[in-house]
Amino acid sequence: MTAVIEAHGLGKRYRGRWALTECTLSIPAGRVVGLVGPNGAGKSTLLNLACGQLHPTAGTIRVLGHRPGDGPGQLARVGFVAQDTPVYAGLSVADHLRFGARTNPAWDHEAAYRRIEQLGLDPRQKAGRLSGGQRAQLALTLAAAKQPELLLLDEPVAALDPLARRSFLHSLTEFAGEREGRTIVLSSHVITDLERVCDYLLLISGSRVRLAGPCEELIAEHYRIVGPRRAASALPAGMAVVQENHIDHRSAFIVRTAAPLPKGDWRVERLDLEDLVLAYLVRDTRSHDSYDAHDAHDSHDLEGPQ
Amino acid sequence: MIWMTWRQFRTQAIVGALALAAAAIYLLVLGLNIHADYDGSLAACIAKGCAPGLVSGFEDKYSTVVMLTDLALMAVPGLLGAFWGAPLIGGELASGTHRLAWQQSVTRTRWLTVKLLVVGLTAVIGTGLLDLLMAWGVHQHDTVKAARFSSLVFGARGIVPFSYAAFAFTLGAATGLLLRRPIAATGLTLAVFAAVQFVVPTALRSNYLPPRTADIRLDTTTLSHADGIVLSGSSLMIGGISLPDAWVVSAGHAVDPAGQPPNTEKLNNCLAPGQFDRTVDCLAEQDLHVTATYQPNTRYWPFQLIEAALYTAMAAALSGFCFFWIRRRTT
Repeated sequence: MTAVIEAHGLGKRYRGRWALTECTLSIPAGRVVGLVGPNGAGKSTLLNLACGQLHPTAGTIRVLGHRPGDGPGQLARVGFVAQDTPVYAGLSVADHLRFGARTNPAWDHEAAYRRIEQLGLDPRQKAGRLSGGQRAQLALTLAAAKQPELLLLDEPVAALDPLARRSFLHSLTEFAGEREGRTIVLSSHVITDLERVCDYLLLISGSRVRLAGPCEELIAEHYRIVGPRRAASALPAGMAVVQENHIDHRSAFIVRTAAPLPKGDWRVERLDLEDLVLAYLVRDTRSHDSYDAHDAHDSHDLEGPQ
Repeated sequence: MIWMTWRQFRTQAIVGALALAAAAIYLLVLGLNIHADYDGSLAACIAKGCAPGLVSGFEDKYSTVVMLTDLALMAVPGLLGAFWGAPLIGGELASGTHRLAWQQSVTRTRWLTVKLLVVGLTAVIGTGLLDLLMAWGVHQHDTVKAARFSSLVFGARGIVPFSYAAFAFTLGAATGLLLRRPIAATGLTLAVFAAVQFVVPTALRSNYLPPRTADIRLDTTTLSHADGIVLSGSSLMIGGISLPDAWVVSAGHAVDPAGQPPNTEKLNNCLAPGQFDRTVDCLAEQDLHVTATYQPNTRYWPFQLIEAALYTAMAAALSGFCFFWIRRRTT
């Protein structure tokens, strides 16, 4: 498995504040990666570092084997849809496509026009008069028609209504399916959006990577178990506790284990992606408040099984 | 990238072109008027010497309009720098579109190079054309007036306006890049450009080459052309001393033929308030001298070259700063 994005000890500081620290990760090729985390977790910073818009303060990042944004060749291989999907308000849709055509060697003119037609956009319309959803679609069209190997999107659906959101994500899935080996990294704090399109999850919180791995594997390895009250240390070995809850004489745990779950005096429930992400985020907020037993598990949970 | 630069610049270019065209028409009309006037009066007699009234009449008729036009022409580079230069990068940063532009397969360096060259050269050529037209139109007036070193005339003729335009434009681009707010950058560009255009002619220009010194005899001609005669004690200062074919930079106190300060009593006797001619005649009789420093007229083109080089160097430094900043700091 070759890594599309590889970071070691990556950090970025803005005016004395670290937006991202000690970020070490490896994103495999051919995936649609959901980048999740609370607001201000460093998702945007990571994406901007990966496309070369920002330069790291610490550590290294390699994208498709090269330094991000290093020369026109590297720029051509990576597409980026920035937050709020900026477009030139005074220029028409056709002007934008012409701009893309004149600045990108692998520009797919037909595909771009086909998409604009499918979306029902008038090429003569000024981009400043498009709706939020149309603007996002135009930005995606620009990024997609340059035919990048890696497409990065920073909260592209955050400002869209549910219908525009669905249509945008549909377009994204189409792009991913057009050619083998394309990688998409999409950030969002709405997990249900990601669940629909992503097959790989990367969770950043407190400016660190908390969880990374294929969605199916992550879901397969996590369980919620509910049974008679007990301490986390009383659980069988090989289970990493993500979250625990004790109410009266019952205890509920969210645990992670690569091995099949042993039988016990508990009820087992499956988690969906959203439950899973929330469990990690809730745990993070708690461990920020008080450094208690949860910290002991941190080292296990940082990386998914490779 | 060239197409995109033009496309983004189109509205400003049209507005600028209309303004430049209007200015060009005005200069053409002014030039034709001056030429017609000259041909009808001075052209016939200038070789063998015209009546003084005819010459000064021609000079006075146009001196105000030429001065105001020169002043307006001096503002053109500043305006182009403020309204074309400041939004060039600052506008993109303010609207966030740099995040779109810099993600195409074009490096920031190339993006900036094309923008600076396309819009910058347009500003330089536009300014230069206006000044060439002005130089043609008022050529005869300039010759009669023989004051091409004066601040306004020097800055609106020859090759320096091209370099002013390059400087003002890169100044606008750099402040826009630094402030990220095009409106603020527009204002700052105008202010800085005006300050530089004040400091250079008043403080720097006369020192481009070491000035020469001359001993000027205060005869009737020199004194009657002076702007003012100031006496305090034994110190006599003559304002606005002129030398033929030269730019007088400074003039010292008047001294008598022996090199001593003139006799106070004699000076006081000469002063006849309200009777300028008598004062002049009386002072001329005393055979006084002043030491003046001056730049000869033959240095006009060397000075034009030196000043153009100075502004071009500043423009180059500002461009260099833009390239550095856009790669290192705008991240």
